[in-house]
Amino acid sequence: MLTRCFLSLFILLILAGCTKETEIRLDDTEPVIAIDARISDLKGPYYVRITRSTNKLPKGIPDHWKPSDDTALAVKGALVILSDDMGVSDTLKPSVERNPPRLSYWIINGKFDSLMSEYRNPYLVNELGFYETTKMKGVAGHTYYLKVRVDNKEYQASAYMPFVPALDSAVIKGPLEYASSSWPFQFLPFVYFKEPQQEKNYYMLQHNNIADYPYDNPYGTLQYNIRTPFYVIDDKTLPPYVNGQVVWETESTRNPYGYSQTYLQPGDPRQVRLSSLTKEAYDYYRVLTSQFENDGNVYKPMPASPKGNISGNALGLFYATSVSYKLILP
Amino acid sequence: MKQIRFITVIMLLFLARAGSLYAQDMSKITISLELHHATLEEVFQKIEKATPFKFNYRSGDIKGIRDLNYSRQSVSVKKVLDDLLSGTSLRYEQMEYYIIVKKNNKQAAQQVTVFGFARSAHSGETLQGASVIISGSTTWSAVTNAYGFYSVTVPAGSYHISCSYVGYRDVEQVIDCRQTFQNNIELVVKEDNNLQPITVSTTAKKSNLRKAITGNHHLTITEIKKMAMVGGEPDVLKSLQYLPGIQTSHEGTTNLSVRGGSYDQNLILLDEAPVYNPTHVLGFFSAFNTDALKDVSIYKGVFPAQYGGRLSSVIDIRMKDGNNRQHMVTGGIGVLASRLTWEGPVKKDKSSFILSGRYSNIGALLNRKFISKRFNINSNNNRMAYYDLNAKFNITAGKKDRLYLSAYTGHDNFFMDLVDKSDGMKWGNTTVSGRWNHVFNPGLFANTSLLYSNYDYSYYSTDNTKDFNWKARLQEITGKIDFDWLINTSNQVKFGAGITWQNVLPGKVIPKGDSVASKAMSLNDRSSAQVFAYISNEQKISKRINLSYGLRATGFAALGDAMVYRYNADTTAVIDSTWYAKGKIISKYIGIEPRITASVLLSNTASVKLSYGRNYQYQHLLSNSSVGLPTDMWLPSDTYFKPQSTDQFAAGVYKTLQNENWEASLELYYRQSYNIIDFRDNAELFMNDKIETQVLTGKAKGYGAEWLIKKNKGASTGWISYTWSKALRYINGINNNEWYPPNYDHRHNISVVFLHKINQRLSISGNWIYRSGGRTNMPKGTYIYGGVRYIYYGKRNEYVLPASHRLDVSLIWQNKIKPQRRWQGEWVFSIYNVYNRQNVFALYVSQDRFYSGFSTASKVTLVGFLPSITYNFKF
Repeated sequence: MLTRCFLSLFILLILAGCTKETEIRLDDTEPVIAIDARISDLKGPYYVRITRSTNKLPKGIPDHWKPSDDTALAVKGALVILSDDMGVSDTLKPSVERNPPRLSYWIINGKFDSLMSEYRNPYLVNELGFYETTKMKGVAGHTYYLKVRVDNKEYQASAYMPFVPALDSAVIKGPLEYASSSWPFQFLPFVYFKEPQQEKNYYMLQHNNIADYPYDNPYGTLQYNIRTPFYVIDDKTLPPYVNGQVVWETESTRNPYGYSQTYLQPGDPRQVRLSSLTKEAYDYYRVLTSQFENDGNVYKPMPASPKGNISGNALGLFYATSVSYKLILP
Repeated sequence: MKQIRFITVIMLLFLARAGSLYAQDMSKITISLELHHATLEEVFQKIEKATPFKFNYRSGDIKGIRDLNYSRQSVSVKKVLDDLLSGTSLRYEQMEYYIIVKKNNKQAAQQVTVFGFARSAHSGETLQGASVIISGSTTWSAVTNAYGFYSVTVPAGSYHISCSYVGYRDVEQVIDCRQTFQNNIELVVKEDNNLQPITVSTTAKKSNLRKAITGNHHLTITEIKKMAMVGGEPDVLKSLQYLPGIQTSHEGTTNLSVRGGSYDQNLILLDEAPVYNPTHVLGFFSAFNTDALKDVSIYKGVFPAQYGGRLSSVIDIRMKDGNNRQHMVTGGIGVLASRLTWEGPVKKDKSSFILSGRYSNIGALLNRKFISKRFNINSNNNRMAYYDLNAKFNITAGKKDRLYLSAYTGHDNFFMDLVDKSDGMKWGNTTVSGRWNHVFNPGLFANTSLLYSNYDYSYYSTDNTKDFNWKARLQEITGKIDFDWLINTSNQVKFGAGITWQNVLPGKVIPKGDSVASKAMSLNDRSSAQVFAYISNEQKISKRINLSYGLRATGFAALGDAMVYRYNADTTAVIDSTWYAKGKIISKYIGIEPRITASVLLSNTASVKLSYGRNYQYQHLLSNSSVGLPTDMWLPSDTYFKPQSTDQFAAGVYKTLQNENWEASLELYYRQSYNIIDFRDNAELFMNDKIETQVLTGKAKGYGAEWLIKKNKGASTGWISYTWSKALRYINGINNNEWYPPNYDHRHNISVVFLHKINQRLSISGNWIYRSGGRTNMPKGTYIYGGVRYIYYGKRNEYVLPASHRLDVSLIWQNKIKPQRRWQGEWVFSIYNVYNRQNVFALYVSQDRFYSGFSTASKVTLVGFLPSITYNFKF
């Protein structure tokens, strides 16, 4: 068994505290439906994922993650309907790996270019619980409704899409002060924008491959989905003009490939997204983030689950977000 | 004619005991008398010849009595005196084998008061809690107050007075009092060569049975210093954890949970000034240097009326006054900290001072290569430093006045990347208390105090993920006056009043350097004022029944300037706001706190007590971690945080055994609290000016039974205690509106403390503690969101942690005492956790930082077997 003694407070006292891995059997509980749904004002389709919870703590992770390694208990054959306050209603269809061709974006010979290519994403498939919209288009300032029916039980949620300030600019800056001496090439994107001070705003900051820039969901760039990683902030400490806010990927939020912070190099092409969140969605993400930190160790707050917005005691969240973005091109 | 104050010379009782004449009964010894025109003086001479009695009188008093005729056979001495003195203005009294005859004048018929201070003969230090017993035809007793003052009212007469105090030889005197007079008592230390001669505060002998108080314990500093502690560093708050009904939520920390209350419900007073964070090193050590302390007492639940402001307990810590007879330096070097204290007279017997300091040694060890290697610390800039300083000066001005000025300051600087990667913490307390004792008259003692307490706490960012530092502060000033008024033999009244002003800065963000992504901001200060007044009476109803009853009234006002928001029903949105200008009352509360305790003496060695008390608390600690961080916020009551209150009932049976060598007790309690606070799940506290939206209020209850058996005398002393207790909370909006246990809910608690003196130079001690497991949240399952497998949790504190137990031992070895040498030293060898028990400090499941969905259950244990050496000295 792996034993990692660390210098707890006591070490300092020359007393060595020890943290050891241990076995914990969770209570047997009925699996619960978990819904992961979002709509934005970027190009669709928008995806809804429906899975079941388990009482097992996953052990170990494969070196090379592939869709078949996904441990989710996917729910297939669910009825999923997304509608809005303008009378549009869209019954989602089960996602398949092969999709109609779409534009993808590249830097070719130093020039930003696009080409129409076949769109395949082996992760966004119904076998893993995904459903996608057929016609819905998200618009800021409107409210969206989600209805999911599984095994004759109905789950509902609604979400308002708040407005987002436009990004002035985004640049890649570095090396960062806190770069370690062993890896000095740490660069991250920074954003500049006017923060509306008279209203309470919540934001999510992300950066991603430019290949996906107009779309809500990513292309086959080995990116699982664009919900993770993320960095959420509250406008509480933001000045009227945000003069260079780092787009940090919340340290504790990981994608399935097992990396830490995605550092960039100067000259990397990158899309930076500033997404608006409601307080509800912000709190959800904030708690997800803090769950990594607040694990119940004594100097941490008592861990608790984030409060979702889906009726019927389902886990998860449905949210709507408006996205403003900048492309950083070489 | 000038009244003679004493007619009987003070004599040591053992003289009387040595004779076979002790306690002769006047009514049983008979004589035959034949008197013709005799003078009274002749009568007395005849009786003296025929019986063991000796007469004591002033010849002037009896000069006029002559022509006595009396003829009786085999009549008791008592009868003779009754008959002969009945027609005169004389009366008599028996003191051992003396018969004292005096004029039956006005003074003699009056009640007189004996008062004074009990002091250590060695250092002049006043002794709190010494028991003074005055016995004649009946027995009166008193216990010296916090300033060593006692006062007893008795009918004029001759008495036998005794004073006792743990660690000191009993003083026994015979006094005759015709008039009120000051009788200061000096006690001599039993072991003059002991390094800690100032043995302080003890449970008084018989009076503890009689005293109408429940849930009260004292620990002497000597006891505390002898108890085995981690690293050989004596610790006040950890020592208290061995007493019944007092426990800690987490092994190794100083947090106290008293009778099912949370740790912010304890009022910790240092020379009367409240200390808001009594810990060093994130709760692992008390912020008090035992070398500078004189006395520690704890009141659980039903407090005397002069105390208030917290729900669960009052821990009253008194600093030493300083030796006013000779200069003395004490100190010690241990693994954890080094200490140095200097005390001495400024003017002998008139004024003295003490200066004491302590500095942590751990910081110096922390970043050593071998340590970081041994424990895989990757950072070499860990910081863990603390210090504390105590200073006190006192001066006696005349017979009636004494002034004290004491100050304390202690600070911590803490950074460890394992606790928090990006922030260091600094915190500290400063208290100043100025006090003036005045004896108005023998029955009326007053103390006037001016108290200041400051607690500041801050985060400083150690990397650049955050562009700002954060700080907060709490300041409090109190002025109060307390009176001890002995009305007569059976009524002792305490009353007083005071006012407190408090200002809290809940948080302030200071941008770092030329940061452009954050702005300076500050939450509004919160000011409040509190007035309080109390009166209580300790009444002797009969020989067997003592009653203590009192009332404390508090008025609290939250003051502007402040913005007060009004929310919708579920506090998710602001619907209105009101601005209150500076000094304006935002909300006010009145608390009426009745307290009553009755004690009934069943026999000379047993008593039963019943008590009820209500307490109010206007300060709320907003902490959402289970041990607590120094950066947790204290906030005063306001529109949303209603004052917390508790009703507590306690009952107990007390018994002394084997001539008071042993004492045993059983106490039961039940308490119910209102308006206690807890956080919503995942509360957001950082710089939140609507903090009330993150907090929910509800009620709590607790009940339990506490057994204690304690040995107070002899070479071996110590105690065994067992507590069975239960605590529960109910808060609308938490845990699906069901009762849930707080994390410090431990069902069983057993403590054994054993102190033994082998010879003059060697003493050993051992303490063993068993505590059933506390509570925590454990995952219920996992689910997928955003491609990551997250944990979700069930009911609050549903999971019971495993029980913990531990044995600590220590050995104190004193250097040989050489009378010509001032230097005295002692070595303290201690072993913490002798049988290397791996107690669970924390059990939790964390999600791996690097691989999504990969969860690990971890168990944190504190140190195993840990020996340490400390050297203490005195010169």
